Amino acid sequence: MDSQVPISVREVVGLGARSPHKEIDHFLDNVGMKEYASHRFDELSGGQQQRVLIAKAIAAKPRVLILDEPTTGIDESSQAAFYQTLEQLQSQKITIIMVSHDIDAVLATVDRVICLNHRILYDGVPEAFETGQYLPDFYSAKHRQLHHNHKAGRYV
Amino acid sequence: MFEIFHYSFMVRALLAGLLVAVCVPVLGSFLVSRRYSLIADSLAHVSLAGVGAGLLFGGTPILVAIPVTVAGALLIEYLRQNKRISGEISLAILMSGGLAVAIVLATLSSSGTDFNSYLFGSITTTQDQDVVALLIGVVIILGIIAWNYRSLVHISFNEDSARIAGINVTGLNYLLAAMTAIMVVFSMRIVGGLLISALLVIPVVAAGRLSRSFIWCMIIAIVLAVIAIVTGLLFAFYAGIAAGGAIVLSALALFVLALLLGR
Repeated sequence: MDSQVPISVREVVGLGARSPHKEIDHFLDNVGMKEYASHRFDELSGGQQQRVLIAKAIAAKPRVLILDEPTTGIDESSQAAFYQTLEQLQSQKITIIMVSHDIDAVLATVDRVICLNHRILYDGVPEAFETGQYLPDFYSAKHRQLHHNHKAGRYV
Repeated sequence: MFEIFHYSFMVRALLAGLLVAVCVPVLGSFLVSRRYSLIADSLAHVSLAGVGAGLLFGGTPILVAIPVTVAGALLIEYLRQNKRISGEISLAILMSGGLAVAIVLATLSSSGTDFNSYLFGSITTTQDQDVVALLIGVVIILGIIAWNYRSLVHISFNEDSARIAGINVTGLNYLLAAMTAIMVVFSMRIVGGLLISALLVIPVVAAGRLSRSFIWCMIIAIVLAVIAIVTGLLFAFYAGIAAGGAIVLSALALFVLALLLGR
């Protein structure tokens, strides 16, 4: 969308809602963006925009959310807030399928890891996933084993 | 000041101008947000070919121009959606092709004066039936837009996301192009074929500087277009200058003001 024509955060979330203007603030609150409701979407940071797009997605009341590299181009502090948002959604019984190269974040937050390279190399819990065994060195060099809590929803 | 209302052609021009000012920025908001600002320029040139055909074969120029321009709009959209030719190239081809056909037909018809009124606008030629046709067209177009508003905004925001949401993106894009074509033809008598895209783009871009949401951008663009058209027509009447030029210059002055006052 050309930035010459503005669109507000509330309008973006409203595009996803089945009944417009209903519960929009609630969805924005869900992703910690309620105070930005009347801001222009194009004036938000990359991380904030992603959270608004998540609010737009959940406004359609989905059972499954599919995210393809959702944190690409987003700074680390915004990424932390983004993953926190996903964990909250997980607790609301929304299943999240995420494709990501961010191994640290994936292992820290998901219930199930599927590692793909032409075929399935690993399919199991994150605690048993050994980075060095399945991924090139540059992944294992960065990898840290973080604490993980299982939540009510599924997170793959 | 109010002597302007003693002239029935000025009353008709003002009424027609106000109708154009209410409808064109609404279409413009969807077109500018899709980076499709130049479509009106291309369609205006195609519509001139329709006018040329009307003048040559003795039909009502506007009635001939409408189907020709709608066909041009559908062709542009077809080329864009099928990606055989990129958007800007298809616009350029239609623009120059339309004008070339228009010039040839106008030369053959030897109605130079009539043709000029479509090129640059001519408020004195606006008839009662033009205003009635414009009113009907504007009501239908605004009705269609209101009915499909959320889908049209969704497509402007992100076409792929709109498709996933189950919106008929292809159909609505063709519909938007056809509605733009009809408004371009209706607006020719007021601002002229060569200046119509200015009215479609400038108020919207100026309003974008002064607003935070799509709906308010649209509303402010309508207000700016109304001011530009009324001011332009008053200048045209009292200074004896071409209405189209005066309207676009008024719009440009408002744009500069918006640049200074806006973000």
